[in-house]
Amino acid sequence: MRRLRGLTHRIRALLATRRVEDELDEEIRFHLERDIERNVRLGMDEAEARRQAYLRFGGVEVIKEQVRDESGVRWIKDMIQDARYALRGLGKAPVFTIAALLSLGVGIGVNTAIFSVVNGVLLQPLSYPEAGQLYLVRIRWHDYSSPLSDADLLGLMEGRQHLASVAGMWFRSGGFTVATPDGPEVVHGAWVTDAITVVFGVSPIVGRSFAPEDELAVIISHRYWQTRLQGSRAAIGGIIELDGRAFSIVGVMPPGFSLPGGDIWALGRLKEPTRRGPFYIQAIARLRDGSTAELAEADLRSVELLVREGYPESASGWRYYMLPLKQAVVGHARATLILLLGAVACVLLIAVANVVNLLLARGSLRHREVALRSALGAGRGRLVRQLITESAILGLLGALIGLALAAVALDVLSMGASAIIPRMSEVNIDASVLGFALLLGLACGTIAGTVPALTLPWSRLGELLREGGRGGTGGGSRGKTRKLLVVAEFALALSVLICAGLLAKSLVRLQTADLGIDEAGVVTFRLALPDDPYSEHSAFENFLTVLEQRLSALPAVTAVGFSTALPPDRLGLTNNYTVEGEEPGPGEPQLTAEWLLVTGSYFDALRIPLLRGRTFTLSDREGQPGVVVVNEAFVRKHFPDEDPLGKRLKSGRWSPEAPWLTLVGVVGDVTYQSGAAGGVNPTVYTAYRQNLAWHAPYVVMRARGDPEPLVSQVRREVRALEPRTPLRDVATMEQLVRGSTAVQRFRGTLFVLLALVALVMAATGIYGVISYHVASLRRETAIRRALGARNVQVVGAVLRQALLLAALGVVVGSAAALLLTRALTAFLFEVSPTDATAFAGAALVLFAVAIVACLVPSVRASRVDPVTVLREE
Amino acid sequence: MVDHRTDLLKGTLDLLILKTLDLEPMHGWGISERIQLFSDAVLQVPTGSLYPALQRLQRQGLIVAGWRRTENNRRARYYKLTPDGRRRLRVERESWDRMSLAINRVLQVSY
Repeated sequence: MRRLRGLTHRIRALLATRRVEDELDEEIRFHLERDIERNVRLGMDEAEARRQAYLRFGGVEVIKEQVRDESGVRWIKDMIQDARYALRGLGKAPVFTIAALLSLGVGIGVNTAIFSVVNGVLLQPLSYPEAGQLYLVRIRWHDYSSPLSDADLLGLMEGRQHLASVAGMWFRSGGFTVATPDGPEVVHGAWVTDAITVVFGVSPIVGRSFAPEDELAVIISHRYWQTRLQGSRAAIGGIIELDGRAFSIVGVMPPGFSLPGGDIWALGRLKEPTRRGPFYIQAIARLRDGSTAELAEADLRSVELLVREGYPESASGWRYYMLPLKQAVVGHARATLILLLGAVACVLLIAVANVVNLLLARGSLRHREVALRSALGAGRGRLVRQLITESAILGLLGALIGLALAAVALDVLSMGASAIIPRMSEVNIDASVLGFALLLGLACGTIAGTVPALTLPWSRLGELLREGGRGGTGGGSRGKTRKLLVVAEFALALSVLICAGLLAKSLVRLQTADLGIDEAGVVTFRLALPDDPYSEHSAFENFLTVLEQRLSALPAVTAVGFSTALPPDRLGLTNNYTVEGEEPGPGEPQLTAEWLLVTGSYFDALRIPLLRGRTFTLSDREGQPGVVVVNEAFVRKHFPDEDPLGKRLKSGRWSPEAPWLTLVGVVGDVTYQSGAAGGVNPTVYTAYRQNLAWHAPYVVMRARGDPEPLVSQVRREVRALEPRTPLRDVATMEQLVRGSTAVQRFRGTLFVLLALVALVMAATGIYGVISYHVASLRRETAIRRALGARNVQVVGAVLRQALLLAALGVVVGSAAALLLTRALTAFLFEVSPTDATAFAGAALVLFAVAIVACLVPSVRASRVDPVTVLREE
Repeated sequence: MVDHRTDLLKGTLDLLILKTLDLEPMHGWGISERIQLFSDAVLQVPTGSLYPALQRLQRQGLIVAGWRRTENNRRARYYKLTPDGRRRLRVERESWDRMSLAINRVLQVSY
């Protein structure tokens, strides 16, 4: 009951505002009149009676404020009133409002955009049922990590206790060749074991999952069904020809299920293992309900022991480990995204500093207004709340602008990043992104509003009112706050700028790095020949010879080579080797080199220089003595002071029976692993015609002029020779080189853009402060000019001020950057994180920006007309 | 401006208002006059605190207000105790009595 009465009271106070106010007025009037009457009765004259009554009552407006404070709905009414007041105030100061909103909008916009990517890519679970229970099981030997072997997966399927299900997945390099009425077509897909649909927890929407008795069966993606098979029901149970074999289509996965591996899952069989390796199977496991990864890993320990018992020759020290599937999918994008988050956070801080600066500048104009309201009875808390409400509204409006900007930025971003950041298609502005932006806006606004409210000269408000607001300088403490803010802005901008500079320099280094080849005029593609008949070495050798002849006969073609790897980042394999005279003792680790199978013309096609000896000829065939060609790095490592020609080495794990290969030539260094971790490594080239088991070669063609128009002729020639094989991954060497730096380009471009935004914001910040500085020194300037100071001196004085602030910012920012850029080390190629050029360059840019930003106010200062100004006083 | 509304005073003023209204419904001016009268002019009720206090008590549902004519036929806002207000008065009085007893004892000890 009591509560109800209280509530009615509050509702009345909230809704019937006008009446409540009138009644309060009437009540106070009644009180005063009665008091006056009494005073008159006590013998005072009319005027004295009135004076005494008012004196006894106290400040009417102050008491009314206090009564309103007690009504219990005060804060709601205040907030509505403050909001209305704030919007009106913002509308009245359009320049301030636009500047603040732009700052906040851009700051919140870039943060929202990057957060939405982080949210979609890193935070949201993968789009499979109970995706948190999905793990990749891999095997680790010291630092080396690899997928599993048949033996491992079989052991895992038997010994699992805490894993509900396990499936294997392995890829055929370059995808499946599918026969279609229009000729062969490359479709990406993977070999899988039958439990794959169980592991992912998703069943086909049409047809069925794999059954244990299935032989040659595939499940296809909904997309493939719709686009290539016209969504026909008849296709289910029908035949699809994969790599020359007929498979039956048993099921179609639901729409929206992104089929890991591509568009086709082909049922693969685990081979009855005869040894521990090879390791090529990605094992995907689902935890049992209620189990944990720790328990499952304990399980894996016992599987480990069992498997090793079966294959005693396998090395000890192999350990299984579990990697959350999400981490496996997005892990490599994590560092880049976190780096970007740091950069956008800097931009946001600059934006907030900017808004605080604007508020302070505006606040000093508003001291009179605040003083007036205070004198009229507004409490200090009330005034502070009002100031903060205003900036909070500013923040929310900024968030709305930011959301719009983020939506645009995301469109641009997903165009550039879909190949670089996984799950980019899952990124969108959802409820959590919306909440993030609004909260960020509210927080920024509130924080920005608190600073000026705290620095209001409360004790001097009365004075300000008397001064008539003419001075209105807001006191030294606010000026100092503003300068500190500008220094902070510059320091932040410098940090971002230095990072951008380092990444840009690294990118330039990467793009101009000598790859050891001449990429102009080269086109490459890949052929994956069917096993029948090319698993016959003679058939494959014949194919190589004929294709090389035919392609070489095309006009403008000057060289045609075959290889298993391509620069700058398509290294097929590495291999152990032993140089004669350096045989390892038992248990000693073996050396590893980049390992390629090539034909002799490969070196001609890429113009890799032959430095000593010879390359391969047609007579380096099977049955002839084994030969190798190595690069300079290999020679530097093993024969720094000897003639390398004629030296011998063995391929693979050391064994006394393996044949010796003779070193017949030395060629220039070529980069096969690009990026920060790559560079030139010891490389061994072996003769393709002596290793014919690998029948999926890259073809490298050099032509005079533009090689691209040749592709259709090449396609015709290949089809004439082997109609079942499409050309895969057709690209010019220039495209490959360019593509190898796509990630770095993406990162560098984003950082440079963010640095530009940070610079512009910092520039507006210093512009504001210096303009204000100039305005507040008008009198001083006028006097100096009257005393004969020349324009140059006046401009110089202002610029000195600006440069001092910039210099402080540079000092603080450089110190911060020295600590921060260490985080960049992994992203830098041949650039030190403390690179002097980047630091100095960034500082110079900052100084230049400071000078440009301050030119206008300093020129304005020089135009001050002493007569006018001094007469104003 | 000096803030009169220390906690003790706030509670005390509320108690005095409730006590005054326990006798009969009254308007704001009357309440301040009566408190002064009853306390032999020892307690000056600062008007600055009276009206906010009345507002507070209303919000708490301890008193209700309504417009009425005075004996001189002028319109005035009269305040009246609710049953909750009466109950609160009793409780507050008891605790006040206990409190003053305790204070008295302390004062006696120090004699």
